Amino acid sequence: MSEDTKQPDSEEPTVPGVPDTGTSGTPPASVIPPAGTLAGADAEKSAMVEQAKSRVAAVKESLQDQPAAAGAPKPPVKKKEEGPKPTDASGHPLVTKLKSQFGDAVGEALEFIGQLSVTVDRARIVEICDFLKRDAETPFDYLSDLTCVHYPANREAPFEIVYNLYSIPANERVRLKVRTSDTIGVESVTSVWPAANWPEREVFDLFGVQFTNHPDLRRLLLPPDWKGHPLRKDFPLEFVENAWTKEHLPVMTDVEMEQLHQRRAYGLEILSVPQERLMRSIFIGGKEVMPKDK
Amino acid sequence: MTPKEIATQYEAKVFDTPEAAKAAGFVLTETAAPRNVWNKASAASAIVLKLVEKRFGGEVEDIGLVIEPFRVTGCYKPKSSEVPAA
Repeated sequence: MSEDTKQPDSEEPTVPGVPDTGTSGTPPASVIPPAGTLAGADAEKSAMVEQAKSRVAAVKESLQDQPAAAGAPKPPVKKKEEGPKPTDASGHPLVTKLKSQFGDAVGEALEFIGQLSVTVDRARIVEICDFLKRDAETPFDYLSDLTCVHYPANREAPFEIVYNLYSIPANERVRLKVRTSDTIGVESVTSVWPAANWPEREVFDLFGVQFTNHPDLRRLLLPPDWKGHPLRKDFPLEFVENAWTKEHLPVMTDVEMEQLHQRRAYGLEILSVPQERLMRSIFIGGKEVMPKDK
Repeated sequence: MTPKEIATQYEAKVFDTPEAAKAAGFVLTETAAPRNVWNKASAASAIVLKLVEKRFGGEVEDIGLVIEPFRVTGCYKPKSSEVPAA
């Protein structure tokens, strides 16, 4: 009989005088201590197993009891805890420094989850940005983003221009906010960070805020003849888009439209239709061209 | 924001049907039937803000929004002095 086919109960012949080391890897019966002499760790382990079993049994019992209490009112839903709120940051070192330099031009300073936001005067935004860029301790040398928010309820200054600045050497961030209206606008900061050029054009395009002293203030994303500014809250998105498309698409007769559908159905060259060539000239030939590309 | 939230934000009354608005003495203004929920919210915002301007200028007494599943309509309540006698 081979080793693998040995039955557990089968008796093996033992050689007298030779210690039974066991070739199968299991210790011989004489080595295993009796049950009463288990080590302390094993006793603790078995106690823990028993405890776990009793807990599982208790949970099972409680689950079985639930259908009986189905008619009982449910416990109230735990209210979601309120999130963090902005706190006053007028004591922040950077705010103190700005206030000592610019006085009343620096307004409300708030800190929200470690992010510092400072509202500053519109008239002195370029000065403040220039100061922050040249500051020896925390030179904000990177204009991370420039964007805008529309608050239509605020009638005097419904637009808030937001400057997200980052100091690469100091690894610090600050957010400047300037309130303005579309007619008054705000001075461009391209003289401080040339990278502000396109973000300011984008804000002008989508919100209609004017940036004075901007080198090339024109629409960035939308066609030059687009009416309105789509990110304003009073802009009906779909209808202006449809109106613009309707205005710019060539007029086709019913026969021409039917011919076009047939040609498309057969997979023929669609640009051979004169009206489609015209469309192509509008959308591709008529696109904005950068000054350097001219 | 949903059209209903927008109406709440600008303190505009919400109606389910144009008939309900008319019955409450409101006059219907423009209607928009956008093709998706984002454009519906945008249309509602545009309509409400026009009405808010009217209310701010003292032209109307109250403003409202008729929110139907696929359509949004603005409405306003004229000043009581302007309501024609029945």
